[in-house]
Amino acid sequence: MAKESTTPKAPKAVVADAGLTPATDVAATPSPAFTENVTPAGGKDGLIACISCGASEVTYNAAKGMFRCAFCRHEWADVKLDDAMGLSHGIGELTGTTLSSNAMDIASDEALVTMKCTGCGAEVVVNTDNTLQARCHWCKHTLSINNRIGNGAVPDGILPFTITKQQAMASISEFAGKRKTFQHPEFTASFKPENIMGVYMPYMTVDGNISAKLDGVGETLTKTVRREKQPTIYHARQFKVGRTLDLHIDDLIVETSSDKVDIHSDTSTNNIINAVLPFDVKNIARFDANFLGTEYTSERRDMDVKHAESYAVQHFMTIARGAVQSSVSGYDRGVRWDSEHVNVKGTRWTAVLLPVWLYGFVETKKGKQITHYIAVNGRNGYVMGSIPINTKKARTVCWIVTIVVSLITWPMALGVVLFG
Amino acid sequence: MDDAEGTGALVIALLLAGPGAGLVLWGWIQAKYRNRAARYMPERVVHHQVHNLTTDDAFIKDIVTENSSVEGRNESSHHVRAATSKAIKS
Repeated sequence: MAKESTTPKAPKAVVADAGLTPATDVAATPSPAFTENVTPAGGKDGLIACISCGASEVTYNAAKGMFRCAFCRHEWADVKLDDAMGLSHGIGELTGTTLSSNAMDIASDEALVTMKCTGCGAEVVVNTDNTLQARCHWCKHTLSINNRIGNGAVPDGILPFTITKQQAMASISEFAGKRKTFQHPEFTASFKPENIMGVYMPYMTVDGNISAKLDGVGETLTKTVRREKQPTIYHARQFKVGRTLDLHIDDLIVETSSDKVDIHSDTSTNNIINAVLPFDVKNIARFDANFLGTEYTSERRDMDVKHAESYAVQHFMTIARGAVQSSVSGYDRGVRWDSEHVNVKGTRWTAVLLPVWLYGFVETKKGKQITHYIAVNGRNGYVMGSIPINTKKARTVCWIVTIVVSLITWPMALGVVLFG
Repeated sequence: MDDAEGTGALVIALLLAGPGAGLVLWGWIQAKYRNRAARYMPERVVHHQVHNLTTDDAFIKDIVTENSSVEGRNESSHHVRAATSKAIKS
């Protein structure tokens, strides 16, 4: 509770600029290659007091989409980013690279940010690797970082959790429960749904104005000749197939955490986290550290647009390939795309935090560690996971099935050989 | 001769049924528990509008083949890149 007798009432709205340390207080300076899409002003940094009572402890009511002062119950609404920044409009007119204010390049790796509490003057350190709020240890006020700092920790927008911890726990329990037979015994013994963590993961939403050209070969069947004792013969007509198209892509989601973006199934199961996408990003709100509260942590992005771009382009190509699928359905023997070219005319990037409930288990296998995740989409509850397998048990059962089936079929084979 | 070949195929199928059943079960366990193929599917879930779709198809030749579909068929594997894949920014 931040409302203390030592805290003077703040009569008007938000208060107090925080003194961010120079090392991390980097101004948003777009590279000349970029156009900046200015993120609307949100809460200030530091102590943000309730306009009604001056307390600084704020909670977010996801059901109502309102912030609420934990002391006097005064409520106020968040700011929807899509409308405020026009993120759904003008995709066809995009040229070059447009970055929102907080999607600018990372200028510092320093995770620790020192803020000066305007409640009492004490210096408070915030570890931005996993949060953007801290409580002043002297006056107990909550201090927030809401605006761009150089290390990429503050996004433009955030999509608040609507799936509660209890719902997420129930989802992963059900998911793991349906995969019990061959579960690794260590996983079974240590599985505690209550250890699930609410994490705001860093992503960029990307709008793309692209054109694509696909070339390949397609075939249509004209005749099938089935022959005795010889393989079937197919008569077909072969065509050169070409497609060109323009695509306006709205809200592609791209990872901006380097240790999550690469998928190597021998060391981690990052694909699981990606598999709970997408999110209803049209409902993203202007970032406010009060969304994090005490229940959730946040991960700092460590990738710039220039690093995330190649992943976005891969997705653009995937979307282009999917977009022409129906136009080649007439080739009943299929199509082989030999080349695909994408011309990226314009992109628009916005840095966001998206809500994921995450449960992790580290399996040590042949001296190597593999992190298994069960992830729950914090908005729609979709769950996906990787459950470590009791390999010995699975192999034994597979061998038993092999032997049992063989015990039935091999005598039959012998009978066929002997008696025709 | 015909009967002998038919019998031979049946014998082979019966001999392979056991190992085949074991392998199928192993694959099913891996798929159900590990979900290695789970991924983000932007082609399905990301809103996109297609404009100016043009087709440029031309007959090449008639063929006779033992393959039941075009060699290297990939029109449904959207996330697997084609042999030549290139992106430019204009």
